[in-house]
Amino acid sequence: MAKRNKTKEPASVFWIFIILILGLFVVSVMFFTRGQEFELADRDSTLSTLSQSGERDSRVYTVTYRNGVFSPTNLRIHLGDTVRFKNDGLFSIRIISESLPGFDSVGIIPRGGVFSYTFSSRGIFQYYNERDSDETGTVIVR
Amino acid sequence: MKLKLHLFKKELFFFVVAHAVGIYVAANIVANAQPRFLRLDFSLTDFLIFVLLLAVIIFFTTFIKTRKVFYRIFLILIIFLGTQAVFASFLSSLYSYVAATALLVFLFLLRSLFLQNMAISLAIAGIGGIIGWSFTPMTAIVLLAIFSVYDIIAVYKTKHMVKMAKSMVEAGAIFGLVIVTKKPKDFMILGSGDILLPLILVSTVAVFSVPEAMIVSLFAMAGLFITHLLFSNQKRKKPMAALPPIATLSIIGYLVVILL
Repeated sequence: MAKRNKTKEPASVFWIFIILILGLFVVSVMFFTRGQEFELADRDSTLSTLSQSGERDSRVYTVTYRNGVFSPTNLRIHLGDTVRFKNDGLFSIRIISESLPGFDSVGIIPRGGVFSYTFSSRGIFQYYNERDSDETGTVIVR
Repeated sequence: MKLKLHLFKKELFFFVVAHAVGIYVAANIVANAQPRFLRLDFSLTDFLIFVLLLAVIIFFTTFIKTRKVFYRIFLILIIFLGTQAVFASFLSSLYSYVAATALLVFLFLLRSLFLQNMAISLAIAGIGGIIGWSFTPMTAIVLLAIFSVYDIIAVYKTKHMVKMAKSMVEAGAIFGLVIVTKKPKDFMILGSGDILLPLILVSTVAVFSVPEAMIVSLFAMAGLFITHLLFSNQKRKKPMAALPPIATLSIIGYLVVILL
């Protein structure tokens, strides 16, 4: 609120007009984000998703698991990019993500094994090793 | 039409500081935070309950006698927590608390209006950056719309916002930017919510793209300019709801970003 140290009676239909315009743009945002592909990641990490514009070629990134650590722990990628999860640890792992349906359906990744996943929606996706939930990582899809 | 650009420059300066630092805070959390700390489990319902409680507290504090003490304590807490969040972006946890405490001490000792505005701007940046990081843009847009209506009702209908602003001035604990217009006794206040709420939207975008967040922020600044023009060109100087134009332009900015 902007206030001046002199106060007097206000009022106006002007503000109703402003609120109507505001409402119009809120509805527009809802309309335009609903019209595009929209995949739910989870309640808080979902953003409106945009279909691939074709401006940029998809890339493949590798996340390596070794000594209980996913490296890089936080990976920023773009929509349509693929991430290869490579198990360089001594034991097999199973990657779980509650925010990505189908992500954990691959099963166990044996030692030296690789699991690839292409991200088709924007959001922040957390994953962890089923054997130790403290071994976590994040993929941020822009 | 009166432009009063010298006043707008003052408003804009602190607005830019808050938004630029807020974007940095949000982007920095994403870049450096450990995954387990990413994304608070903090739904829109939780936030609305929190805001409702806060609104009830604010509403009642305009009627109780101890409100001055309440406002001072609340302001100190807000500045401490907000600036600590900013300092934590580039300092260790311990040093960030030390820096936030030092800022409060300087604020208390120097009693400078510039320093106070700067502390408020940084506090808004810290709080806005963190909240924005944990929300989605749609949540932020809904909040902007709800609070714009609330702002109009609170200023023109119930007028408790005006009463609260007066109480804050009397208590010397103002949750907003104090812009001196002519003499020290002639000033205007830009409420912290008018900067914080658009910053939340900007920060939700900063999580994915800093340039796009800057575009939304630029639109919010255009909204600030419209608010400034409306305020400066009133026939009689009176309190005005500042958020609706800023919120509208911020949402337009977001619309531009998703359509481009």
